[in-house]
Amino acid sequence: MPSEDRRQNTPAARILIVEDDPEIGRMLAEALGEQGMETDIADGGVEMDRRLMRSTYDAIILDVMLPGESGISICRRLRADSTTPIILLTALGDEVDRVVGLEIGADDYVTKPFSSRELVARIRSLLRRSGYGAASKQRPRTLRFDGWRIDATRRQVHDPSNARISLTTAEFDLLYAFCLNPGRVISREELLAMTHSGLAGPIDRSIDVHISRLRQKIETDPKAPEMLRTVRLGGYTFTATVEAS
Amino acid sequence: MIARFARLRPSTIRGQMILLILVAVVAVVQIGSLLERATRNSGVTITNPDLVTARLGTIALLLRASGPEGEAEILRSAAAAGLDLAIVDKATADALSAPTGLNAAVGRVFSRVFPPDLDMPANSRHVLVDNRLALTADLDPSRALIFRNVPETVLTTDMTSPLIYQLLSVAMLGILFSAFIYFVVTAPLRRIAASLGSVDTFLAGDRPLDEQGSREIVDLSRTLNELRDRIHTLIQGRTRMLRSISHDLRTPMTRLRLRAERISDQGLRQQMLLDLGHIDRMIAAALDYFRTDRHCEPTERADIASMLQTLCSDFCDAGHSVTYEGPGRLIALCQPDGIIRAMANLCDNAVKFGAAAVIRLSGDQRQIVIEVRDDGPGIPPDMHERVLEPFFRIDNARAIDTGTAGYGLGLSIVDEIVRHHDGVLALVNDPRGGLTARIVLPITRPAAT
Repeated sequence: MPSEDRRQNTPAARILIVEDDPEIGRMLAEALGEQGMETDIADGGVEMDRRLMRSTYDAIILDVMLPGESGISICRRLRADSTTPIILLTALGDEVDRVVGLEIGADDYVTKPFSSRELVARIRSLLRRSGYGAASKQRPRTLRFDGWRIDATRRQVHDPSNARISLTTAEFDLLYAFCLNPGRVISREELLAMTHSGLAGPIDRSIDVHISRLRQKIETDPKAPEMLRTVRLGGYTFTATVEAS
Repeated sequence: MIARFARLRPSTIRGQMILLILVAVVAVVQIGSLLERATRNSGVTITNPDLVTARLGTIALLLRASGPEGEAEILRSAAAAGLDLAIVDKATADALSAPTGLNAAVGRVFSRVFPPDLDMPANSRHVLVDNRLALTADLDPSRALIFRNVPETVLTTDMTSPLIYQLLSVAMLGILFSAFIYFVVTAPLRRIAASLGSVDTFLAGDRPLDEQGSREIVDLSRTLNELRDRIHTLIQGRTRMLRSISHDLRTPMTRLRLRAERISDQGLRQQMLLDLGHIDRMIAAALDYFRTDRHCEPTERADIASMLQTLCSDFCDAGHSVTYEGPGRLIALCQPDGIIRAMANLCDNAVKFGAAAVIRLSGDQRQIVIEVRDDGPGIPPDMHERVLEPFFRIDNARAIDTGTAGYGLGLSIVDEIVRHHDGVLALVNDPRGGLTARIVLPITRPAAT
């Protein structure tokens, strides 16, 4: 796996860190540098704008609590005319903050205090997703199939009777990935790359286990799946018709 | 005029009650005397029937004593005094029919309820002569005396007017007091109770109670409003304080953490990261417990079975053994995040103190039962109440050092969430060892739409 990551990060990914605390900024830059990423640090919105004029970046790490213009406002402004992936650094891990962050266009968020390993994993995941063309483009926030409804911002799923069905992070990421690519045969490797779950935590859980759990929850008969079909030697395909809005 | 009256009106319930009694007494006296005057003015002589009868008896006595000449004289004198008297054969008198109708019936009831105080003449009774009320009494064995034109109505007699006073005062006080109690005491109290609802809705609401009505009611409303304001201020202050502490702590903690990651001594690094993790989780737990918005989560239809399955998967993925037993789907109206939170806390405890845990779900039309059973040491029965108290830990100091401790908030939060669902949380020690946490939620399951 590490070798695969390194291969994807060549040429070195360029990351802009927008953080007002100089020590955190410096240590983040070091940690990312060790992982083969190139970093620049901006201490606020003004500095960030200057750097963005001079060069382009593959991702922006943005602290929410900045003196002057807040991270939320900067994020909204950036999203208006750019598709660069953004990871928010929040000090309050509230659901509200997360939803607000994602609604204004951030691609991911990390709660302080975080480990540099976690942040690196998130950045990689984001870069990989944007590599597959899924990230950065305005991703649909609500998806519907067969009476089911997926709210990507709140990460909630409702069944045709409008009852909320609870999914694990991995199950949700898989379902979302399937809904973005209906009818296409997706290999296990692709699925792994399209989801967070391949990186954070249960790395060794095989995709098949998650798929089987997901079937339990969305298929009428999990033993004879109709929506989530296994394709011999290929992977999986999602047969339902998906509407995005 | 009305405004001035309103100003003069006493503001306390006691004052209003005294005023009410005064008004009622005056009203009774006034209306009573008015009624009396009205009936007197109508020209009907108010007569006590007993007196009339007694008078008849006296005349009969006189007649018997006077002899035949005297009789004519007495009858003439009586006629001159306005008494219409006649002497008839006893047979004729006996043949006269008794009066019928309501007045006669009421009269009979009265004479039974209030027996005459005076000696009544022999064989006296009311009869009808030419369809008008008359009174007869025996004069001697062969003759009877008839007194015609006896006043008709019972209501206009002396005997009934005290009764009018009594009835009037009872009715007056009854009606006035009922109205008073209803409009001044019961209705405002009920209004207050309705707008308070339960403690939760009272605290959640932000519309102050109307400060209107009697002074006692106004005082009550005002005190309740102040109470709520103060509780709000306290809660907000507490949450703000915690949030700002946690926010201010997070930047230095991020620095610490990033620094610790760069320590080359692996043992030291591990320990520092572990401690940092503790501090972080402790802050998060405290913040979570003091959250004010937990009860604001909207109630919605949610599949409880999938929540529990998700929980099991998450715990299994984290390397624990948690299994789910129950239906594949069980949809109920609830606050899903609250329920997930509560169940996650119970599972946390289960895998902390035991090696394996089982979540069992069952439900019928009235209630849903969720059990989390572990194979740990259980909780001594005398502690079952106390473990629900916030920040209470059975094994205080040691567990923190070993890093397995919670912060004594998990079960408190569970209890709070369950209560908010009108449910019950019970801890039961399994005789074979282990603890079962049972949640019973009275949920009406909505039919699938």
